[in-house]
Amino acid sequence: MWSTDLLLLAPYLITGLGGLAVLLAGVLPIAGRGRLAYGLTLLFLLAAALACIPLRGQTHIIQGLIIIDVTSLSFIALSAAGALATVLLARHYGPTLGEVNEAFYGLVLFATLGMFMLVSTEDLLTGFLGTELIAVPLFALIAWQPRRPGAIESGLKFAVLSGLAAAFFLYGMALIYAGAGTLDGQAIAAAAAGPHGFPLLVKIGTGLLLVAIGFELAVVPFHMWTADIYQGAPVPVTALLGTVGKVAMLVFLSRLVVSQMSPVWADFVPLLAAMAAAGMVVGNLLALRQQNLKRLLGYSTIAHFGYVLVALASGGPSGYQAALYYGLAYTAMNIAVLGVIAAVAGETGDREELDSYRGLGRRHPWLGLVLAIGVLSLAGLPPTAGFFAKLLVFFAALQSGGYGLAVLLALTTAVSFVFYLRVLLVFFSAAEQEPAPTARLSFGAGLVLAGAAALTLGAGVYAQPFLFR
Amino acid sequence: MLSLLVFLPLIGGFVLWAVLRGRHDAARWLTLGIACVELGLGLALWSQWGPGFFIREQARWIPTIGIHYLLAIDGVSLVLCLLTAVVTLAAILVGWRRIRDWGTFGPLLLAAEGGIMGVLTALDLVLFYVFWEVMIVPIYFLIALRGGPRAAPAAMKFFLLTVAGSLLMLVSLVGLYLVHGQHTGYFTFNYFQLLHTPMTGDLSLWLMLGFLAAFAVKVPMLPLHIWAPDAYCEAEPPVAILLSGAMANVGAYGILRLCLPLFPEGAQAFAPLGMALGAAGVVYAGLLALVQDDMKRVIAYSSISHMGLVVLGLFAWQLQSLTGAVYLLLAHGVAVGGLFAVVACITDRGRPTALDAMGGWFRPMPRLGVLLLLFVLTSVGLPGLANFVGEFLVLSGSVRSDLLWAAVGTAGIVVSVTYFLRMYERSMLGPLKEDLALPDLGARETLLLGALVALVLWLGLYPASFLDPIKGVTAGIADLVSVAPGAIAEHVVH
Repeated sequence: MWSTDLLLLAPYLITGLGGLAVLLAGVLPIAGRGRLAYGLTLLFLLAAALACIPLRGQTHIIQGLIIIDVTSLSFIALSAAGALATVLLARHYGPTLGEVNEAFYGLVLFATLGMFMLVSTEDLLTGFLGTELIAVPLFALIAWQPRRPGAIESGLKFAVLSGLAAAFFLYGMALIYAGAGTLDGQAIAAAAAGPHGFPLLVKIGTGLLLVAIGFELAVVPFHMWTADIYQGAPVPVTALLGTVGKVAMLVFLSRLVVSQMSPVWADFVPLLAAMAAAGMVVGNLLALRQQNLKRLLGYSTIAHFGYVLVALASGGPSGYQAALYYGLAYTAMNIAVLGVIAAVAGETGDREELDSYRGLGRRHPWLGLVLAIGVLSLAGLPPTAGFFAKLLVFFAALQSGGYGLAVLLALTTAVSFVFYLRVLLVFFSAAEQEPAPTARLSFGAGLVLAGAAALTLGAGVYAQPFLFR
Repeated sequence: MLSLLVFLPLIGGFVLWAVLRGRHDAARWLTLGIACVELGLGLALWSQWGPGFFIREQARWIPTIGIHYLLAIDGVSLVLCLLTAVVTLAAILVGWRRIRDWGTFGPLLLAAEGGIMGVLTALDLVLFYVFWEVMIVPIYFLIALRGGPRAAPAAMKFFLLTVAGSLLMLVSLVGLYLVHGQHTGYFTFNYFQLLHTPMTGDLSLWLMLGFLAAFAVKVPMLPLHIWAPDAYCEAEPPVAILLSGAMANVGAYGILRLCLPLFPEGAQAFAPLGMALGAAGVVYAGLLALVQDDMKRVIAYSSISHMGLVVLGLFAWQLQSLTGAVYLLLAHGVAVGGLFAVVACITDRGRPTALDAMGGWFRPMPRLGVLLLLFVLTSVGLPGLANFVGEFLVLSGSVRSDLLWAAVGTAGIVVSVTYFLRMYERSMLGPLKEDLALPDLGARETLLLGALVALVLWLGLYPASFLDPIKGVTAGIADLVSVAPGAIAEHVVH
């Protein structure tokens, strides 16, 4: 550990210490402490994101645990931006109005710290710490304002399942350690193949690890919880757990799959491909007839991680690139859509049924525009980021000879248009009931929506700077 | 200039939506204005016409994966761009009164026009794909949001088939990119560089089929035409004009521009089947048109039937047939625009378009009757009118490639005479069924239909002004066929 390392760790320190500071600020005996905590949270997250800019171009490994490179810096900034969106959306979000306090902000900051760790490591133990640091605050955040219907249920469901995932993660780690004598992703393969290695244990351990990661990413067949949590959690929290939270895990998985551990993963490629195919089919089919918009987004997430797994199953640098770009696009477009849902939520609860959104796009054309950009991007239409993400996945799949997966991707994408277009059609068709649904957009939510829409379009129209190598 | 042609309607449409939303009248005039400027741009391009791709615009876009911003225009793209501009203008005038909120209709129409212009000029394949998809989204909303009661399912059917086809095109497109990259070590989506990609016959066929899936849906070609009758009939007439007069063309254009030159071997292997499907489409859609009881549906099936003739001409792969196919696109676009405009005139008068409810309408509306007769005669291929030139060239070329399918196609034209005359007889002639006060065409309608008739006469009487730009391009594509058989033979030997 060198003193320069402290500089590189600035985003982590800002967020971690910031979380404590926000908790303290919330109990100060002054008036307006709520606003102070809110302001400080925004400040810390912004600072963490901005701290990545001067660090650009550096590549450094700290103690073999934390890797600072282009990928981690970009995704640290993205995670901070996602958390910022959550905080801005939550501030004026109807169902939890007046309940969002310093504890909420603190938990968001700690979860963000977990994401920072997860996107910047190949070490399994650090990865585990990051995973849990994300999961534990989310137990509480999902059940925020426990009197909401379904809050406790979904919080508990998430807690039990991520506890189970943690158990798989730990057991897998233990077996890998027994088989290879190290938890450093870069050294595992070599050690397992070495004289004292025990490759079978490493393989079993990796399989268990995959189960744990599959739970977090909602990959079929570990996807059951997704729609329930999406329905039960406050939408701003969904915007945290469903976007940057998952993407952090995706980055971790991508690093593992393409890193020195790739020889170990080679045996799992058919399994990854099967999970990808299942995810694309199951997610899109479940979403097809869904009338609840929040659940629909949950199912669409399952499908999207199917697409991402196509890229990872293809492996190689192009698969890695595709997966990371997909993570970015996925975050931007989902925040755009979830942001619209959060912005139009009533005081008593979200609009859930698709029909309750009828005519909103006509009454609030700018909200309609953001939603249209987000949904068309989810569907994968150019020139949005969602399109280029799929294009890169096609590259990766065809390059590695995955013709079947590529064609399946094309066909399931075509199917997905049925429900994505239905959402848009409801939004823009004439309202039947009078008065038409209305919404009041706060400044912060407007900022989030504008940013997410701009990123969704911008990363599509000008994809060049967002291609990670 | 090309960028302006593509982005003027796209950006103009967006600005229109953002600024004039809810201000019906201003939006309507601005839409018309932008469409007129667009036509002016097209005419300006025409004045610069020269051999080959006479204007190119190129810029770096995503260099690390070989994607460029590349627009270029040659004779065929030029005439199709002109047609698109004319058809859009016609659609706007047809919808002038009947459309209630131009604040959303105008932008969608313009966005669709911009997308079509983009498809016709983009020569980087990813850019081509981008415009291809940009084009169909506004069309989906145009059909779904403002048509009849069954418009939403019709729009969904249209969109799903289109998107499934275009995603298969995307797979092929990436496949072609990788094949080219592996052979030359140079990964690019540039059309000109992909032109001479060496590949085996099988691979060429499969990649070609991926592209064809997208184009065949758009054309619409025989087994994939199922979306078309519903979409044409459920959509408002202006949208139907845009769909059949402009959007169908990009399918045929895609076959001509991409399927044939990029995959000469695969396309050659497919050509007999392609001709068969085209000819069968002519007859099949013609027979269906014969039993329809609604004027709109007769026109819809006649449009599909004519596009079958275009497909026949494209896969016959002769200089005449290719030239004739493109020419037929022009003639068909104008004629079908006129026919749907007549339908709009009838529905504007609050009358249904069911043939049973019509009859004897020539007497109250002589002007409409005469103009409809002209469009009908054009569509059945009367010499001196637009379609004749195209149909003659297609058939005379096809005869050299395959006598059987050319003969079947000709039979289809005989069928077209039957169903069109039946439609005309049942709607315009005979006794008046009820005493109706049907006002004849107003000034706007006469002007619009008159202008389309003038175009039909121009296309029919002085074809050289359009044939020259087309021939220069189709000659190059027709030459490919003489190279390919040897290559195919080589493949068979190996």
